[in-house]
Amino acid sequence: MAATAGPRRTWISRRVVWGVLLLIVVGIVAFLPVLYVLVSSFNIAPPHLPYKFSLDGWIEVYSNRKTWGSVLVTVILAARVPIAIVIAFVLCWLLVRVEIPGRRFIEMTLWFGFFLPGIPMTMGWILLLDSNYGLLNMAAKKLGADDAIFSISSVPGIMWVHIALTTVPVMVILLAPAFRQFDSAFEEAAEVSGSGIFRTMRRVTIPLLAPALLTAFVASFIRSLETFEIEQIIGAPSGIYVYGTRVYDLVFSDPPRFAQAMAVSSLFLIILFALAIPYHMYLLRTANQATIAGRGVRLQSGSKPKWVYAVSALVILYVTCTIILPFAVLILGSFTRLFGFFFLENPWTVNHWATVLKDERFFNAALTSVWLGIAAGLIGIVIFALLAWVLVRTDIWGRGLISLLIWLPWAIPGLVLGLTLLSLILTVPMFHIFSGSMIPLIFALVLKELPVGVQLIRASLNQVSGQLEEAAEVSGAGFMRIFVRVTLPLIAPSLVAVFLLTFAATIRDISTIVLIAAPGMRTLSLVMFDYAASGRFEAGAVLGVIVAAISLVMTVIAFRFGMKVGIGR
Amino acid sequence: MLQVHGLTKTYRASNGQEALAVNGIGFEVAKGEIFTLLGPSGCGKTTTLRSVAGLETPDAGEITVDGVTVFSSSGNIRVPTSKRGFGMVFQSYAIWPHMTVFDNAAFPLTIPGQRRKYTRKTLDEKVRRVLAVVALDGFEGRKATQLSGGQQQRLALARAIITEPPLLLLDEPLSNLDAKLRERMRFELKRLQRELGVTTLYVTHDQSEALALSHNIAVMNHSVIVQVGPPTEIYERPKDRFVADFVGTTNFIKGKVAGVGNADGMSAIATDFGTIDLAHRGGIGDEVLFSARPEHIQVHRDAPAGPSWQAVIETRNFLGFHQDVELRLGGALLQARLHPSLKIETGMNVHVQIDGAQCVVCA
Amino acid sequence: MFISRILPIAILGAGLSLAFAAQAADWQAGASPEWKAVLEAAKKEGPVVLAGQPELQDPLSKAFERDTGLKIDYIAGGYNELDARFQQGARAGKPTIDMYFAGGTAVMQAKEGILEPLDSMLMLPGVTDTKNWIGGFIKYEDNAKKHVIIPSEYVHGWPLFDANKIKPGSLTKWKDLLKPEFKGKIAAYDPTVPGPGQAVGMFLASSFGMDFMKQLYVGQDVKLVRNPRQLVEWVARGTYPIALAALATHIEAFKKEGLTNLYVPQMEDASGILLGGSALIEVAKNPPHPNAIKVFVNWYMSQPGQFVYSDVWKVPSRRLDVKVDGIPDYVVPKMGVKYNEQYTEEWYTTFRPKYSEDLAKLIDR
Repeated sequence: MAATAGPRRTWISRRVVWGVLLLIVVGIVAFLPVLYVLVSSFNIAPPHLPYKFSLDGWIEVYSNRKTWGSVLVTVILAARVPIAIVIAFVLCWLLVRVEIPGRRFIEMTLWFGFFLPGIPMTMGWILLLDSNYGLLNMAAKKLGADDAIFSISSVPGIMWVHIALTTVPVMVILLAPAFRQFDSAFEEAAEVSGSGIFRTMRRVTIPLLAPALLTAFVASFIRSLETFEIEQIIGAPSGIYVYGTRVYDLVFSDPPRFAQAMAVSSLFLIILFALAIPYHMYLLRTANQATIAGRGVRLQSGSKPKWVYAVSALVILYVTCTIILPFAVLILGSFTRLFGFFFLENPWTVNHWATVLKDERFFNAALTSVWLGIAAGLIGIVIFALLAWVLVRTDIWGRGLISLLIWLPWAIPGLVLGLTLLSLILTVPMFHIFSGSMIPLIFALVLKELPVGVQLIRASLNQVSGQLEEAAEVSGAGFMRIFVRVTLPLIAPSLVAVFLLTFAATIRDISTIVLIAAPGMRTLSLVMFDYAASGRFEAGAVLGVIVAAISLVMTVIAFRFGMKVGIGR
Repeated sequence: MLQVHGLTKTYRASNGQEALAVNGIGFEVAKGEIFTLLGPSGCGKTTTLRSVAGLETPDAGEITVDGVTVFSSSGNIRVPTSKRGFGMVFQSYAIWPHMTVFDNAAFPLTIPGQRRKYTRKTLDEKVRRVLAVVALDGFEGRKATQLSGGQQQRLALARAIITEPPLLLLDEPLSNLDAKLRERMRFELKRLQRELGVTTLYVTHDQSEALALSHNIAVMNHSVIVQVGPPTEIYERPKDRFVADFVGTTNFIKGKVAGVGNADGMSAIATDFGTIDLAHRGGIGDEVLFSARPEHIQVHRDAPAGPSWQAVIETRNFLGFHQDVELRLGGALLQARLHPSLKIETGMNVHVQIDGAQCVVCA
Repeated sequence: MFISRILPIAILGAGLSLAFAAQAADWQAGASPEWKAVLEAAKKEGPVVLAGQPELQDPLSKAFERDTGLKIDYIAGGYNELDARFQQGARAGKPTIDMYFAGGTAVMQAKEGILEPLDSMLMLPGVTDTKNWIGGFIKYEDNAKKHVIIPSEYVHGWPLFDANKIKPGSLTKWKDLLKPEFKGKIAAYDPTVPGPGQAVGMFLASSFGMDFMKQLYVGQDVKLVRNPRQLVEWVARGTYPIALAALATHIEAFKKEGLTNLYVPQMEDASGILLGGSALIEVAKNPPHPNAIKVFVNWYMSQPGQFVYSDVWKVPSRRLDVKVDGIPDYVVPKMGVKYNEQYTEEWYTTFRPKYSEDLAKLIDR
């Protein structure tokens, strides 16, 4: 035993040294904003004055009825996640397993929906569902309804917009690959044993897909706590406040109540950890189970039962109503003299398009958006891939903690993250050099996509046999060569997906970068936000349509790649 | 050429318990020979191979190749895998699906250290030559995924030998092939190894593969090497019950030392059907267990010259090139391998002889 | 028909461009050689960085480049974001923004000492000649008359009614808004956020007291929004017949498209607020482009600069030589009327914090 003690210590220390090093880097990057939130929550002095410790922020904000109201509404609104996961599960099953007709169109529409910018789409929904002038309500009244059927300015209204616009599309995007990798022999074995469709689903499909379902669930749930823009537009006028809008109110009230805002944020950090820890333990427990990798044989094509066509029609109706309809209304709105006033004597004009396209800001913003998207996307996938690789392929010390830390950036509202970065850039001397550059924006955007990026690449790395890398190592290749020549090409499909997600997030994002975007670095969404904030809804709608058009191009590219990489077969 | 000494490796399971994978093993491989690590799954043979490759870091021990120490726990030496310069074929072949056949084979030559030795033209020639050696010439431009299992295996071999490594590591390279192909590849491998003269460390759980290919075999069980030797010795003189059982098929027969045998170092062993003379030294009355291979049990329809016992055929499997029978001899049920021309049937009374010189006492 | 429509517009257009040409030429009249040096130095500094509402960006950049040959790097945004950015930068002594088109809070930054003095920056005779300004003086917000200039003033605080629901002339007193029939019928810009809504809330609080405010904002169940356009849209659509703290630009834009039900009444019991809008000049201490910002401030205080501001926001300038068409009557300050002046140092140091706290408590966020 004495002989083995020496060498083992050095071996452990290598693991530990790298582990601690990585833990420090990830910790600083992911934990610094969290630390800022926690520390600021006890600071009642204005930001530019010396730190003054007090519990007042916590006491005041949690003795306020409105805070608990917003927490309650946030939790109620999070109920959209279980609803959406059922819808998404059925959709995935229909798309991948049953292969209903029109599945390509349906899946493409869902990707498109995910890429669509939130604010203009919400404006589109308002035009459709407003209880006073919403087009659908007016149509219902024409058909004999006594009163408005839909009311968008309500908790169900907000929930609906979320489910339609983001929650379901995201889940389909996250779940469909798992369905595709899942060997249908498992299901066929159950069917041969005399099990019906539903029993098979309950006893075989769902338990085997549980890790993927759980990841989609936890990811969406955490994200649902953080959303902000839709609630601000629809909810705030009706007095419906959620965590995100509450933080916004506190930060931008007069005088600003940073301590209280940070105290509210802290609560959600705690909730996040309460969720992430059991989730993580579950994943660790199931990690030893056989990985599901398979041939992906599907139901026999050609002999589809008749009901498949009816189901297909229903699903197409669903994506049309949830994604295409509000987008169509948005396009119409961008051509109205006054946004959404369809019943003026002469409602149509192309003036707003002309104004926007002639606006010098427009082209600059378009360029900024594209560059920022590409930069964040590329830098993102390299960092995510490295982290995922370390977590999957090495046994360095503290991996569990690192993968837990990776979830942190999702717990912080984009606005708070932006505020934190701004404060850091302005107050820490060594960060001054970043002021006015694209670096803080890229940093914030990459950080924001860190959780889902690492998770997706990690899942994909798990599918790739480690022997493929070892073969290169034996051939004499060093780490970088292996990574670039072997690892990256093998996980290319998920890299493309993660790049597109990051790109889409970049061109959509407002809250994270609004505070740190330097002069001359306005993205299309920020210009759109400026327009909307100053009441120029028409110009905002025009930009919304343009961002959506870019998204459409992205979707098409995604599907071009998808032919090779397995999304939307 | 390859020396492994005191190799120990422990794994830590997710529940925190430690499991010993390799427990202080050592062996030596001479230049140019095929040395096989043979054992059931979980015996530590793959861990040993991966430690030699550098893919695992042992807790203790020393590994030397051609006089160069590539790993030493006491000397705190650990040459990285990529600098060891060995060739290796993985069980899954690990053919990169995103590259062509040519690119897969050429990969080791693109590493800076190797790249300097070649011009574009000589590199091309070299790859083609190696592909020809493994009969993959003409496949250069194909996607690796378009190859059959046997072709992938040969491509993996080509990639492993292209740098003419001093040591070739083969991790169950034939286990994913179908039976026919596997048999053919045994010959191919042997031929290739002889042509190249490369020292080879071979890992398998298939005893017939090991017997067919190796110059020397190390039989492993429960993280240790049980017996090392040439195939004939392993087969004919198994050191213990495990080796006898694992390598080939055998019958274990219980008996007692009844007296000293005819020659020196021989004992007469009394079994419940009769007495056999075996190579054994022991006290009278000691309980022994000895192994008698099926092919060393002779069966006759009529009583032969010399001592024999009466037995009954219980089952008979006709296999074409031979026939296997189970026969009841006293209280024991024994397996025997017979020439296919011998006319016997189930239930038949036969005469049995056991060649004591071929039997080995195991315990 | 065609001719009769086009011709007057063409003549007007020609006249305007002539007027522009004339103005462009003489705004620098009588400038000292020192001014020329500043102008030259500014050319080497690169674009001056301004922050403000998005509406100003295009017209301001174009006019400034036309008159000086210098470029503007304009950061457009809402009050909230810009305030935070400008102040954080100026406070840290690392300003990236030269000037911010601030609201009334500018005086607080002046007191904090993070602003560059302006009085010494004014160089052009056309600017410093007090005869050009209403009342014969350049108005400052700070009592020291050094750091924050108010170049434009307008009247805010009147309500907006839907003529289909509320007959013109039937509702002329603020106190009448408390009538039960208006419960749930009033929308207002949120009075707890800095901006037009807060100004109106404080104006009403200072005019009628907090009790009235409670009866109005809480008792009448006022619907609060953060987007002023929403208010006008609601009144135009008939969703709410009464809106508080709507903006004139939106009202006029809607009227132009034929929504004639919008009207602004004259209230008898309180006349409104006198505001400087976001016209205030707030220059960060040690601005990154010290010469370019000097050129900009002088230009902005001259006729062409004030014309752009006045024209974009449709609010009157305090310069007497700026005449802009289409400024609605209800925003022009009238001589002899007593207004609630909110762009003063006293307002920001004494009254505002109190009202702000009261309002926050009332609305309870």
